[in-house]
Amino acid sequence: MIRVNGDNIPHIADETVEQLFVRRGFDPQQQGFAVAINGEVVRRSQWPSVRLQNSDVVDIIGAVQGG
Amino acid sequence: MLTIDNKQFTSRLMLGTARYPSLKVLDDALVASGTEIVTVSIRRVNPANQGPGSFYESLKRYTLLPNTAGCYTAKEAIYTAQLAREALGTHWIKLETIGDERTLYPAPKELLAATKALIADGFFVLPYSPNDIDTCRALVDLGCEVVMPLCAPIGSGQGIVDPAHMQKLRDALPDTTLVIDAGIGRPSDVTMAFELGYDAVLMNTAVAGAMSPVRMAEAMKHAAIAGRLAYKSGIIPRKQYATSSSPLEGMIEPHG
Repeated sequence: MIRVNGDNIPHIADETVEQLFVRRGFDPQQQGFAVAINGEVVRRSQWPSVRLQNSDVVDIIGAVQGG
Repeated sequence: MLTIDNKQFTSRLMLGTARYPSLKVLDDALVASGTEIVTVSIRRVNPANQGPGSFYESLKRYTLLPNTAGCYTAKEAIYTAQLAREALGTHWIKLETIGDERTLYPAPKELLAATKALIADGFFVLPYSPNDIDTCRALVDLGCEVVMPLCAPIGSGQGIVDPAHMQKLRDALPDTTLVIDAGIGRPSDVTMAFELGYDAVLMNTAVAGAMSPVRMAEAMKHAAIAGRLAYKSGIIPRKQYATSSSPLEGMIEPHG
């Protein structure tokens, strides 16, 4: 399993961050959000190459209304 | 002109984007205020909701100032800042480290630790700060070009409750860009901030919570212009007693 924004989903061997996005129905080219794995920011340029490990915790964040 | 990080801005108001009744009202209020800098928060999102017509897309024409709202520790704030930089492509961060839940006053120790780490990591830090001279000066000494002291608790609308103190803070840091952040309630608070010599004002609830946010945004714009113009014009000092404004020469005396 991996944990994405608080949801447990199955881990797929060798899946990259970019592939995770596609699996979740997100367009990886979309601007305005960032990814961290286990509390470490993964630069956008690394999304096609960084592979997720079993039990990784993934945060996908973006801008929301704030003061 | 207001200069921050070598960028020039015509408006001296910064607006928060929270608590508006709708994206349309937010959009109209931002336009009415004339602001060029808007704050956003960083949260977990579903990227499928981030496309055209989204909140993020609607703000692209503004200079975005992401905040670390909700963070209590330097560690949380640093992580949020790093994600914000990656997501929004800006090295600006409105650094908030909350120290007390009820007042939302900043925690100075965490604020200073996070400021130091973030500046070392290449960030341009705009700290939401307590308004004591010592903490504000320490932030400047760490390399902050901008410091953003509160004048009253966030969202309280109390305004500048201690103008004499805020004047002393202004006088203590004459070369720092000082932004009053938090506590503003009404246009007269904004005008006073500029009369005292503050460089900019950041507000959210005062506009978003008004019956008509769009009209209040416009009122705030005029209040800022009036206050800044007054400051640049040289306000007369207060005096204890009257000074006649009409001439005393040539007074008419009654006959008989």
